[in-house]
Amino acid sequence: MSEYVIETKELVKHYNKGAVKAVNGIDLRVRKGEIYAFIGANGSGKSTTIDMISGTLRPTSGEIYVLGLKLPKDRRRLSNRIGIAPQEYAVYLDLTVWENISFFGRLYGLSRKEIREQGEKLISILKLEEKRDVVAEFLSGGMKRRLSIAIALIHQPELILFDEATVGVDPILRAYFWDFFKSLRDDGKTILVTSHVMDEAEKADRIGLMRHGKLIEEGSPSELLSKYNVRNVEELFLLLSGDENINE
Amino acid sequence: MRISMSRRYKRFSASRVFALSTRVLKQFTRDRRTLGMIIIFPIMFMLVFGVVLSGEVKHVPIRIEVADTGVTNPFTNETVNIGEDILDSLVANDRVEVELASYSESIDMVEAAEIEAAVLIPENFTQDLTSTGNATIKVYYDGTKPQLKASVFTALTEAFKDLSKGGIDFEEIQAFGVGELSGFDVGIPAVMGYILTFLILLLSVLTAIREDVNHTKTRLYTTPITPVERILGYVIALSLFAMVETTIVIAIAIYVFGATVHGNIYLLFGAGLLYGISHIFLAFLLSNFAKNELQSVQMAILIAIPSLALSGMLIPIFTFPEYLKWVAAFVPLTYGIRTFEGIMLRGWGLAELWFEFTVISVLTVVFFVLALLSSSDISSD
Ligand SMILES: Nc1ncnc2c1ncn2[C@@H]1O[C@H](COP(=O)(O)OP(=O)(O)OP(=O)(O)O)[C@@H](O)[C@H]1O
Ligand SMILES: [Mg+2]
Repeated sequence: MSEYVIETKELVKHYNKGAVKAVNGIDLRVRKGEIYAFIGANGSGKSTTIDMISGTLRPTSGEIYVLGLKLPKDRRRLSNRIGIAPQEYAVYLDLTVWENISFFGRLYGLSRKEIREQGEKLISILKLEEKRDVVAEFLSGGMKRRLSIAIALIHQPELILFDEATVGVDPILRAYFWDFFKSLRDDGKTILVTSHVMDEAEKADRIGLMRHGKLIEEGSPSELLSKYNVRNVEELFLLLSGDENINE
Repeated sequence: MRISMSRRYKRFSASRVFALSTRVLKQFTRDRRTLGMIIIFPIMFMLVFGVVLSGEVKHVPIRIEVADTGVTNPFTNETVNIGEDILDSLVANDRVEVELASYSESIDMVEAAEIEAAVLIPENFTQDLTSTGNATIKVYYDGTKPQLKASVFTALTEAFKDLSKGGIDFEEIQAFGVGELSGFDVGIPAVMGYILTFLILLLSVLTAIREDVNHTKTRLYTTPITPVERILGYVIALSLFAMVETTIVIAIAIYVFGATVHGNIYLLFGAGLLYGISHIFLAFLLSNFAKNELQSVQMAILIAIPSLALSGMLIPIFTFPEYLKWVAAFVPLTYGIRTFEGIMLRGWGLAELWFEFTVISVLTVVFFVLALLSSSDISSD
């Protein structure tokens, strides 16, 4: 059994019979209790990697182990232990905030009491109290995103995957959410995020930089900054993958 | 707070199914467009189709027994047989498709809804006509479809005209239906079948595809819910819709258009529901191959529109050429209409309709299995 919460070996995903090489051989290792941030240009393969790790996308080749389970074979047994907020909101637009949260709580087999306790807690942490009984369709983009995060956490998963979790969330709340993510980490949860906000990525324990479906650089923010002699992650990003979109 | 270890992964969970069906029902009640579709569409359909249902029909199958022995002129030794002449004229008339069979055998066929009418030209037909100027032909007919009945009697009347013989009477015996049936009476079972096919397919594919459109399907993949649970959850919710739909359609038929149900109304309701459920599964099967709302609607239409023609709703199946009859045998609506007509117009029960019920049940299971086989909890692209 792997000592890592997430371990991939030579992970590959090709779309359209090999025409699109979205992920091109990734060896990723994420330890228990760390916040790992994927950064990379649009189309570099972050979401594709996350979807394979959550067991919702079948890889073309390679191996994936998550929480000691082999994916995609054992994905069913993973379901109670993993929480995901996909890049799209993925909430029911015709249900209220509370109905969305409690529906997923019931799917996870939580008791009414557990749903009430954990749900109310998340609603207050994610500052959705006022919108509790509002139909999701009428929420602002940032609020839908917050609802999506709440759903991901309703069953208190050990591993949390946030694909651009804080897109559309205002800067003040974003800083506040990162404090919340860190408190989750301090509780022993493992978090894998993707982000386009570089000062946000800087708050992660480790950063992985993706380019053309490959993990081209990895390390703690301070390690990487000194290695490339740059002042911040933004400069690092521009240095290492700034030309990806331009070339395409 | 820690996760209790008792919450292990269950292979099948009724509470997950129930959670999903209540969610889908909630979704329905919030959506005015869908609610409108449930109530307004059936009324509109009934009116439109009811008015249109009339017209001339050709190649109506009948069986005839010519028992007429004719009259032989003792001087010239020539035999006159008016019964045979009528037969020749009927054979030449394309309103009807004539075959010879004994009257009693033909009556059975009318009762089994295989042919429209049984005709008997009695033994001393020519005799009576030549001696008294009056004779009677027995016609035993179905009576559930006025257009078909009209074709038969028009053909017979034309036959007498050809022979320019007056004084021929009919002894009409109606097999089904009490008194005269109105156009609506006749059209309603078929329209019911069609409404159920179209609306249930449409609503079900739209409901199912929403999961993809909202990207909630991917999220569902990460929860413990299984494909079987997902399908069952939806089917339970959509079955309630099918019940409402069936009730509305039957109620409108009876209270608005004054249709009479000669058979058991609960059986009729059950048949509508079973037929509806088979189409919910079919919709699920289709939605697994659709990528968006537009595609799913196109698929529903692709099934519903040809069904209209091929089920015999517009033109009776026995007027179809042989190869089309085969196609019709594979159209679910064919069996739906036969069942609804049987119960409503002919007063049939399970004893007569066991075959149709079996076909619909088998289809339900087949669609369920296919929907399940094409469902997944992981995407490949
Ligand atoms: N379902 C799909 N079919 C075909 N190609 C796809 C599919 N999904 C993603 N791709 C392609 O795979 C590549 C990687 O996409 P991916 O969504 O993983 O990138 P990303 O790093 O998450 O980008 P972004 O920052 O825009 O979210 C892109 O070139 C994309 O066009
Ligand atoms: Mg992405």
